Amino acid sequence: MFRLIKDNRNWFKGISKNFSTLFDMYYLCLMMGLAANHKGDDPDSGDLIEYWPTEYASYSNFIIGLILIAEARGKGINIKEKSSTTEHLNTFLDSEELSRLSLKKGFKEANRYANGGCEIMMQKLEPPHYLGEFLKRYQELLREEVNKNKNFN
Amino acid sequence: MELKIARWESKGLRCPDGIVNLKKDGFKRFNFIQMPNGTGKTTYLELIQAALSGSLEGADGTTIGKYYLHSNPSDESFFETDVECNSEKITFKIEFDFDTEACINKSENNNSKVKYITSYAAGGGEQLPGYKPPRDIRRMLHSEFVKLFVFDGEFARKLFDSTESRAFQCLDSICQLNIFDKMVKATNVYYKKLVIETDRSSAKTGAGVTKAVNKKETYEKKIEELQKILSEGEIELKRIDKEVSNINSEINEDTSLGGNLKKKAQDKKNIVDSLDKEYNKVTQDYFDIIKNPVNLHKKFISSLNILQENLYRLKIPASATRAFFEELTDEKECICDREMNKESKDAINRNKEKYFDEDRASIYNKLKSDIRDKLNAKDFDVDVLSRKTEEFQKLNDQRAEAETDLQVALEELKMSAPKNLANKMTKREMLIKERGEISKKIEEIRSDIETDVKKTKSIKILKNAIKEQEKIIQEVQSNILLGEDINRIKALCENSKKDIKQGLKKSIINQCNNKLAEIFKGTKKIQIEDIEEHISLYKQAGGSEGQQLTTGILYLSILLGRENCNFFTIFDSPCGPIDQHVRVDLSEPIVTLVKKDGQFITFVQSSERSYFTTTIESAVDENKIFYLTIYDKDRFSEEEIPSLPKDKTVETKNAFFVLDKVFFNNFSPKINKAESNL
Repeated sequence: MFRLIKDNRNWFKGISKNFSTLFDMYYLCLMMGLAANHKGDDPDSGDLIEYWPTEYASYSNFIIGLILIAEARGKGINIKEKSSTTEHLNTFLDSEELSRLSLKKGFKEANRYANGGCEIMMQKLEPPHYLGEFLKRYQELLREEVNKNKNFN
Repeated sequence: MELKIARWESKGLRCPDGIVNLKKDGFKRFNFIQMPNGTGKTTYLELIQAALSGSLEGADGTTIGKYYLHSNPSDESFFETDVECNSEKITFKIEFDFDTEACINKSENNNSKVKYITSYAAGGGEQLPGYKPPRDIRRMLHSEFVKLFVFDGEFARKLFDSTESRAFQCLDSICQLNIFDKMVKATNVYYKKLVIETDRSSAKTGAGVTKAVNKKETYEKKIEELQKILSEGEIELKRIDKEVSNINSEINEDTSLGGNLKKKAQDKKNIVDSLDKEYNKVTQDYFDIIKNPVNLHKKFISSLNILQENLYRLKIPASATRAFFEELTDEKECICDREMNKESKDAINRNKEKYFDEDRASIYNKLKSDIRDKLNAKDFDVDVLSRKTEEFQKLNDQRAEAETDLQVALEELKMSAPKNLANKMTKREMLIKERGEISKKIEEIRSDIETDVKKTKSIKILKNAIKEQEKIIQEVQSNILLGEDINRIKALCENSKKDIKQGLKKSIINQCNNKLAEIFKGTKKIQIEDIEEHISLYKQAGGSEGQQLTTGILYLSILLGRENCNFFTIFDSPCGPIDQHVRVDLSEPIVTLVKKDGQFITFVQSSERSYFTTTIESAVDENKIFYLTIYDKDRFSEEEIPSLPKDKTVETKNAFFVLDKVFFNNFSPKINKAESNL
């Protein structure tokens, strides 16, 4: 289950009317967490959904791919080696789950990145009031974080 | 219901190995079994109780281990007894499996076990594993009930002990009054499971309802206030729009204004409106672009490309799936034409784990192909976000500039306008500002996602909180009603039991006293005054010990008689601590109390014969008495023992069983002091 805790949701309150789904907030947090390679605690509340919303379904493999890359680099897994890569995929993915993310690791680590991403935004950005202004500052911050992140270099 | 004990047999336990057959020459009314102290009388009594009641089934190892025979261990240990219930034979057998080491070392961690076996004709005559007596007798063989007809002097004495509550417990067992206690217990369990052990536990009092009602009212009030803001805000917005529209008309119609300035302001206004529209559209497009993660950074694209390339290069997933190998093992030959023997099958089964099942293979294929296809698509634009950011920034700047131009144009217009028109313009500005504030308040309510019910302005969240409180109120109210019903049931059970017991008590005291009047006459006359927790005798603290035991047996036999039970009675060491001169107070009445077709079995030692068995012997036909003496081999010297009647003696591994009246009455071995303390 994708989860975003109450405090993180509330941070977006000034622009929440522009969101078509609560998952919009989750996505913004998750990508920031991956960009900055920063994970928070594994949340035990704030259930959202257990599948990819329609607007994100066609990008879901990109998101999954980025989680796999971040986790492999973080753990020193060599993705050029078959058995370790196979094991890595088996750990994070599960064909039984609608999202294809395994409950034990896939969802858990995604939720931790989302939590961590929100922490970064809270530290470095003012609470948003206008969506356009926010998106501009968001993508700038994300670029800065990716440039500092060894996982994507 | 009639119940008689026909025989028992024990082997490898702390009582003599061998068979006691009480039916050998037909059932006898009186059965005297003489055993010196330390031979195993109490063990016999306990094993008979355990066999009949099943009480050792599930008992702990230490309880079972106490029957282990330390002095002469045996490969096989069991106790078996045959009883006749309305002439139908029922056999109960207990097989012991001792934890020898723990028994010898008296360890606390004793894993000794027992296995019960039951057989009876109506059960097909087969040996049924477990303690499974016929249903119609089962309730009579409850362990508390069995103690009423297989007991020792200690138990009978407890009926008179004011510190015990045996007398009433017996009444509960026989008349099944404890069914009321079970009902109370069951209702407590029900209430505990339904309320106390659930999350409803915090909500089972009146205070719980008040708290929930107060919360509900607070939320309702808050919703009312928010709805008022919304509805009044909507009305205000309409009013302001109308007023602004009127002012606009008035300004437009006013000819005192310079036409150019007016047109300029209108043009600026049109530009701002148009840019606002465009701004909203570009912002939405901007967000849609950001929703695709590969638009966020080129390093994301390169990393994903590396991932998909590696998955292709490493052939993950392999083109063959696990199912292929599973099917292959069902073939007679492998695809390489070799025979599919056990070795090959094992190897395939071991290695097939390296291959994915079809579902897993499918998601891995989709992952790599999706990434490759989308990133290599002709229309994939790697610079889309930077362009859109530029576009957004440009538009934002234009918008800010247009807004400033509009403000300047409006100011110029106002400056050139006559005073009354300038006032209208100022008013219009104020109205527009006011509109903005009202709109903001409305928007705050409509788009609030705060989940904290104390802070939220979301009517939806507040309505959900009201539903929660309503649920609690309903639960509290149903809990209170349930609690009241439970208390009523408990009171009903307790009062019913009390009333029935009082009625029964009166009737039983009458029956006992009538019988006691027949048994004890003149100076020996005793009467029961009351039966509360214990039996108290009228105008005296006790009677003689013999009288007390007689009254106890009488009480138990009357209780059994109420259930139409003609059960055998086993009484262990009745006269042990009783002085000889009062023993007749027990022995004489027993002759009266034991029914003509009854079965009274007593374990005695030689010192108990005097004024007990002798009194019964003198009052009863010799043919109605069974005599048996059991003693341990090698315990006494030949001189101490009367000569053994060989045809009436059975010698077992560790004891002699002598079925003879003369031997019984002459058996008086000297027991040394150490033994007499056994």
